[in-house]
Amino acid sequence: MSVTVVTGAGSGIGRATALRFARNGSEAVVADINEQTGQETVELIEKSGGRAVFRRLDVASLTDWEDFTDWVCAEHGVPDVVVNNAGILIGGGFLEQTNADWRRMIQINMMSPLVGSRLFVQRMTDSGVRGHIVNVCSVGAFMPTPIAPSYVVAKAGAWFGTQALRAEFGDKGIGVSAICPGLIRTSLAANGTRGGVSDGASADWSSKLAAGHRYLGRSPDRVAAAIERAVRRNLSTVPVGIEAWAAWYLYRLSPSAARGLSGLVTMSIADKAVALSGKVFGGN
Amino acid sequence: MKNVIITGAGAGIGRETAKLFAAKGSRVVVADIDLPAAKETVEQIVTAGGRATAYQLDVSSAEEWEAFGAWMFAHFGAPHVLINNAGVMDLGGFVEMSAAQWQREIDIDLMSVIYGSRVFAQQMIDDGIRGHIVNLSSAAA
Repeated sequence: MSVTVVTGAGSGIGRATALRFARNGSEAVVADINEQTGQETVELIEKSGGRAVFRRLDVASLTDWEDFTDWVCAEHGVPDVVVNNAGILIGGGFLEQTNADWRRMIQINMMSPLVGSRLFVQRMTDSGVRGHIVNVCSVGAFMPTPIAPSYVVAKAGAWFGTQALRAEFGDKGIGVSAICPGLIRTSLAANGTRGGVSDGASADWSSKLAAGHRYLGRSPDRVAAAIERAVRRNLSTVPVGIEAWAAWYLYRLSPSAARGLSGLVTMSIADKAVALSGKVFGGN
Repeated sequence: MKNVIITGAGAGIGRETAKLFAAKGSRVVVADIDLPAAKETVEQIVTAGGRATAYQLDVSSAEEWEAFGAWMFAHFGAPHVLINNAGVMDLGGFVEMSAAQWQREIDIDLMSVIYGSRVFAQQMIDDGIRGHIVNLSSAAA
């Protein structure tokens, strides 16, 4: 039986991915910082006849990552597929976000998939497992937007790191893919924060943003399907959604046009849109 | 007189850039983690008739950037130009590089640009200076 590790599998894209791989006969290792939602994913999988196990993982912690890798390999063997999906959102302008906001973002959205890749690729090469690493990046990797600069910097770094990993291990039997979703219906916005304002104002902002996000995003299973396809065909970069494909091609055609377009939505417009989202869709 | 800050200006690209800006009449702040190297750059500039000051800065430290910002503002005011040039390159495979090596690379080559840009972009905005930030990236990007 193959083993699939999915981080951030307590909700959204991670949960949909764990469910899909379990449905296809893989044993899912459900990793999440939230034990409750992680256990719920395991129950969902078991209820539909699949096999799954939960293990708590704080992807921001290097020691957590090392313990997690040891545990997975000892208890379930070297995994066949590792999906680095866990991520966070911090909104707010370049200067509004504090140095601590920036560090946290780089640590979680950029470094954690690269750390997970590094640890598991080491085990795969040591044991001769021809495994696959999937890093869930974002269309943000191609959109230097002023409304979530730390997020897009981290995602661009994760995407580039994934390409470097593929360049090094692609011919050594390890599959490496980057998935770049557009707007997906997940808890990303609901769990997000806004830099440069009080905690209360940040929570209010996130809940209003999340209200619109729930209606406008597409199903996370679309991303899970893209991940399955990426593993099957060992695809390099897979945008998900029309806006993701458009941004991916525009960025390759003209980085300055992509920047100009991304720059049209400024933080003051974003704040107005978030307030409107709260009114229309009933956030908070 | 324009104030120009250049990090990693104790050697290589940083030093040459510092000399060029000084020769064109700017006051250059030569920042480097290696203070004697920064002072050597300053000496070369001063000998050639330019104006320059050395400052010891570890670009990977957010706290040092904040202190540098306060020092800069007190002595010369907000800069007109900030050139984030300091950088390192560790060679090694993706998996071979230790977590500490990865972190060092990220702190010096990525976070430094964010810390420095945040401190001095804010000063430029507060002072109404239409300044410029130049980040030395690499063709590897």
